[in-house]
Amino acid sequence: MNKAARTAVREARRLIASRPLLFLLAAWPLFYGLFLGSIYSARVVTEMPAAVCDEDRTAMSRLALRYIDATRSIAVKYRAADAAQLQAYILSGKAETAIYIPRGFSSGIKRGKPGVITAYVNGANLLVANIALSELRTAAGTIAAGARVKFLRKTGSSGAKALAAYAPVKVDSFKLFNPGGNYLNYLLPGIWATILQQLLLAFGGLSLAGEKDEGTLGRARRVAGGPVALLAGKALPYAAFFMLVFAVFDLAIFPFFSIPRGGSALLLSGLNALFIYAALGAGFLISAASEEGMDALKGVLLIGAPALLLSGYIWPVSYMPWFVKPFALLIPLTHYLGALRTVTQYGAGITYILPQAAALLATGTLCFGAAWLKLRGRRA
Amino acid sequence: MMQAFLAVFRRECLRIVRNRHLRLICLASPFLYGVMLASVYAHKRINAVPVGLVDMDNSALSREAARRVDATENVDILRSYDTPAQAQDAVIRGEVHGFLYVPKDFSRDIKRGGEARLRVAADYANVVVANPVLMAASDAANDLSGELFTGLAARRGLVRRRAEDLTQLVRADVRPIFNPQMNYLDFFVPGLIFAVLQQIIIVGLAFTVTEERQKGRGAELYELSGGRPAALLAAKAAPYLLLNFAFSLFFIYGLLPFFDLRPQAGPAAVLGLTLLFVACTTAFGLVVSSCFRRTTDAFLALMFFSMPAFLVSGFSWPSYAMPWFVRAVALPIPTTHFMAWFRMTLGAPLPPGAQLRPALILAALGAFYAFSAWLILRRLYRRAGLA
Repeated sequence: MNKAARTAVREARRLIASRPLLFLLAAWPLFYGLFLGSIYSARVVTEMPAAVCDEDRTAMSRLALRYIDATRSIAVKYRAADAAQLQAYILSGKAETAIYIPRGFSSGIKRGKPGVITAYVNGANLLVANIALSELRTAAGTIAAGARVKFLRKTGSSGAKALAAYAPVKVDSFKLFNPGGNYLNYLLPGIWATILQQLLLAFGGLSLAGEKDEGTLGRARRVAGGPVALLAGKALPYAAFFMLVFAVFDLAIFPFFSIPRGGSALLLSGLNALFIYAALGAGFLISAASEEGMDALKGVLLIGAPALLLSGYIWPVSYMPWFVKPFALLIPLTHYLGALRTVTQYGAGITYILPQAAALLATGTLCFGAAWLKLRGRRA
Repeated sequence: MMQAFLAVFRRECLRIVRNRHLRLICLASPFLYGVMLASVYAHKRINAVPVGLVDMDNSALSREAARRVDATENVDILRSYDTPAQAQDAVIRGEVHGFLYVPKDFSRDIKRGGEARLRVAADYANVVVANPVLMAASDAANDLSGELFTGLAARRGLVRRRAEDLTQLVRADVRPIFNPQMNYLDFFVPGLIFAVLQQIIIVGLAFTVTEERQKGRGAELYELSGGRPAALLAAKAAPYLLLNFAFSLFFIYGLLPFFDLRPQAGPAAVLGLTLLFVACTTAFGLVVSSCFRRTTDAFLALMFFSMPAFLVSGFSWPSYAMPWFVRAVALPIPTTHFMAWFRMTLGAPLPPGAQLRPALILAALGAFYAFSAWLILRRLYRRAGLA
């Protein structure tokens, strides 16, 4: 125990003596927490620039455009004289949506013929296109509903009856666990966790490999006396520091960006501890298997770079091809993000995250175990 | 000058082949990441999202509503639950991503000429999965509403055809351009592979430059390049430029067509802009490399570059929804300008002028970075007493 403690003190001193590492440890998480958070500070896409071409120029076409402009996400910014100019607005990237109302739109509707509003949406950015699609359909539906209500009133329905019967089946949608459908709440926890995993892997990766580069691993082994104390003593300062970093995120950075956090604080701390254990374990395994610091960092980059995409946080693992899934399951972030969402967004208890917790525990134990074997083997 | 260039160029090519770190960074990782990241999105669209059903009405009409939701390609009703609480629990357990709730008296309300509510709950903790669920419910409800309204109007003496017209009196004919199938592969993959390539160029250059510095080979390189910083920089960068240009062409004409993505611009525009992008990134990499003294420091710092660079580029979250200082950070990064153009050219033929803006920006940035790298190298030589 004493040997592990001595190793921990030595590791903490090494860390303090290295300016780049200290900077990375102390400033990077905060910098990334705040900078990446600010990208999504608008939370939802609003004021999406739209260009319109109204060839009908009637009260009804102006009303239709007013409805579209009044939606939360679309802002009519450009008025085109003809369809060609409309196309130019969207091809130049000035407008995300181009709306075209043909001549005869209003007169057709008055004769009971359907009127079509053609909208070209920039589908290259799906996030923007989905929002535009939904807003345009709602606006068109609202205008169509007015005509139906008018017919029902003419044919004898009272005002209330007509309002009920123009669309007898209505949808009440409930956006569970993220009622505003906002992207800040959705994306940021995943992005932050990815950065923190990268740091954990990097520090784990450099802990032994860095000593190999400096030629001091033998000394570290002598201070520790054995591989178990060496691993425990080296991991301890990072584990303690990262528990603090996670606490800063939970207590300061999440509230700063007003990201709601449900669930038990104790459970969240336990989950964070398991993630730290698993990610540090993976880092130490990379470190033990590496000949030098560069090898370790390459390994870290190999796991860390695609981690968010593979984690299933954005694109579900079930939709990935079979040969990608095993890689996804090997990365601690995959299990952590699944459990994090369950605890903090669903507000669920421990029984709901047992599989992920077990996976993190197993990953950490297997990785530290393999690192121990590697260190023991080297001594032999 | 040419002799000096060739000497350093040959030396750098040999380094890429012989150094195991450079071999992995420059030769293996573009293949590995390019193919793996593209494969993640091979499914292209989120469809058949598993959802639950809570049917408290249990009538022919409620079953019809559920059948219509299930019939959309967006969702699959996986199983039924007795209560909304059970269904929500299934969402939390990850069995389903949302559920449809048909309240009691749904059918009776419609028959009485009243309004019936179909409730849909989707797990918005993941917006990508939740959107198709809401869309499916909304489409099915509109469909059913239209049919019920047509029946009612027909009963009131309106010719059926006119009644059908009335249900669709104003229709939004939404045509997604650039990505007509609205699939995620077309949306993400072109950007991802070039974000990865940018990272590989910068990391590769950072490694080679810092390693030379760390091992004190400045004087050797100075002599080999005949004391010309410009020749040294050009020759050191040229192998990376050529190699990564070749990888870019492999991505554009080999990997992306495999996923049915082909640039609509002519080869001259594609080759020209891609070359400008790779050249600009290479020059950017030279400047970034000069900030580090040790390879490990460079690696440590740069492993945190690619994700923020991708996020601030406006590729996923639009630039106009970002604060001004984030937009400012994105401007000097080459991918910001290249990816926006490249994604559009994959979707539709662009007018001739569309190439001009990104080309000018990339050329200007590239020239600025190359000049900065030259100034830095000249200063380093002076400090070392070589020039």
